[in-house]
Amino acid sequence: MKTIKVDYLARVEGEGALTIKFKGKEVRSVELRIFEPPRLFEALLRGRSQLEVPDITARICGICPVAYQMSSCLALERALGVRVEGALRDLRRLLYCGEWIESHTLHVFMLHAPDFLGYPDVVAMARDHLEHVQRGLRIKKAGNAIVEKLGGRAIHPVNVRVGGFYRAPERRELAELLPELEWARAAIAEEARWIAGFELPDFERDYEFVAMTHPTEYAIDEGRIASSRGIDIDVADFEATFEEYQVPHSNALQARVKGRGEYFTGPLARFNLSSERLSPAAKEVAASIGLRAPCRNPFKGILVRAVEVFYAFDEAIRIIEGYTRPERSSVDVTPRVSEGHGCTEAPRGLLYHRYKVSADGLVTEARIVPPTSQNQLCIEGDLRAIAPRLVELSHEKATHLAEHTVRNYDPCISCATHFLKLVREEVA
Amino acid sequence: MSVVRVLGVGGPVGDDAVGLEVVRELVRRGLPEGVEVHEVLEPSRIVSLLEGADHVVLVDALLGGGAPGSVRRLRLEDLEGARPLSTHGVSVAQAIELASLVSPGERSIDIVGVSIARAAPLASLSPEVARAVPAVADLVIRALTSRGGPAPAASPR
Repeated sequence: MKTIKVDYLARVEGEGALTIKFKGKEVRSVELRIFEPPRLFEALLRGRSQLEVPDITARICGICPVAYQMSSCLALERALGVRVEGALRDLRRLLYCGEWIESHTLHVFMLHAPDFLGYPDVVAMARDHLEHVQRGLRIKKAGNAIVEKLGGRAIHPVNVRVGGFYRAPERRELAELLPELEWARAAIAEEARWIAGFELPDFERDYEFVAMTHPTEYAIDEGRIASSRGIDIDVADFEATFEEYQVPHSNALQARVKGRGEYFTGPLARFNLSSERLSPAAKEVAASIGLRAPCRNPFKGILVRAVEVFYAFDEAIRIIEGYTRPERSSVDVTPRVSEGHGCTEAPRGLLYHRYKVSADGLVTEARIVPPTSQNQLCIEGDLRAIAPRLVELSHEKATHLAEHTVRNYDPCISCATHFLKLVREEVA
Repeated sequence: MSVVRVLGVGGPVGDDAVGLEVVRELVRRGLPEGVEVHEVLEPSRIVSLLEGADHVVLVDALLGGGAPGSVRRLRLEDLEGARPLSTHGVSVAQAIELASLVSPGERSIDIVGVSIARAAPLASLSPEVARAVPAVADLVIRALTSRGGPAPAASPR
């Protein structure tokens, strides 16, 4: 019987998604290939109705469809002069919490924890730590239950629309989620203590952290954009502040602060800028695992994600307990010639959308800037900074440490769990 | 009552999406009663979708293994060594293995692979792969009924 070998690495046609070239002890180049589909969707969205945009953008990313839907809805609502407030806005925040839980839990248990514990993957880790993996999966499922209740299942019509939802749930439907959410909230607090026991590499850089901020909330779906070096802007000024430029070594676009350089977005940035806005219980969990702002060690991202999962459960329970079904599931939206900007905190960091809409409600221009491309310069910077340790290690250990360094950012890269190609050139 | 699920696994663009397109074709045709279908863009979901299922048919794109658009049934062993599609998660093979560890139980899994030439991010399926979708849907229906499950609502064609 013929054996069929499937090698998805062929997707990048023989090249590694990450290639680091050394000459002796010196890093000659770091090349990271980012998942490109968000860019492709910019072209696909042109000519489509603004009402279709949340359905289309939901398909960009399998693990964060809600983030894409929310950023696109906010951008279009801003273009069309509409605000979604009250119970509908609470439902959106609830939906987003569900996604944060799903995405972060997947990363913490199935991708990042194996790195810290020295396993090649989660399957190997599950053989020794079955209960932790089972609990992690059950916690993830609790997040998924929120997303399916509010967001609709993938093959049914998506529930999110510009202006709100196609259908707002009854209070009873949300209340059904509460017992499992309460279990999961307690479970992640316990798992955070397990994670806090992992050995963490000692590594720090002086980053510019960029995240959304809000006067009273831990910002997810609303707010301004701020940084640890003084940026404080309205979402509409995103493109005036952050620029994308073509990288010489690839087709990718990388982002930087205009006039400055690399910046760091995601959970660690959010925690550093807004830890005071976490719920009291979430602050206690952070304190109990020794997590304190400012934190400049990207390996501690795993701790921050655990705290954000706990916070997301806190928020979800709070929103459900205070929920009354609104009379209308959405606000009326009237097409007009316009342009709008939207930005939300996807699990991985800032996700910015801009749309131009015609008088008959068609998209004439779309711009999507995902968090991973914004972090690309930072990731490459971390790899350069950690290079002296890499050269001292065996090829296998160096590869794992480099992959771990990249995985700190939970990036969206079109490659495998083992995606690194480490090339050591002979010194002439 | 047997829990039967069809999982179409895929990425959002290009030939990578063939698994998703097959599921959409099955929904259009109408499925046997009691069969659930799921589009899976994120493979770790497979772990929870295998939980509690008696029979699962999984459809995914394959690199290598034949001319683009060719279709075959695979065993888990055939997927060994396949890498995950993205840093977001695990591979299909890993998800199936993980499910056997976290929720052990008797279930049968059929894997249907559709060969694609390369996972270039095109807007839609390439012609050879698009042409294969109806035949893949036929194969899925056969895989569902060959286990003694319910007959399809309408004859495939």
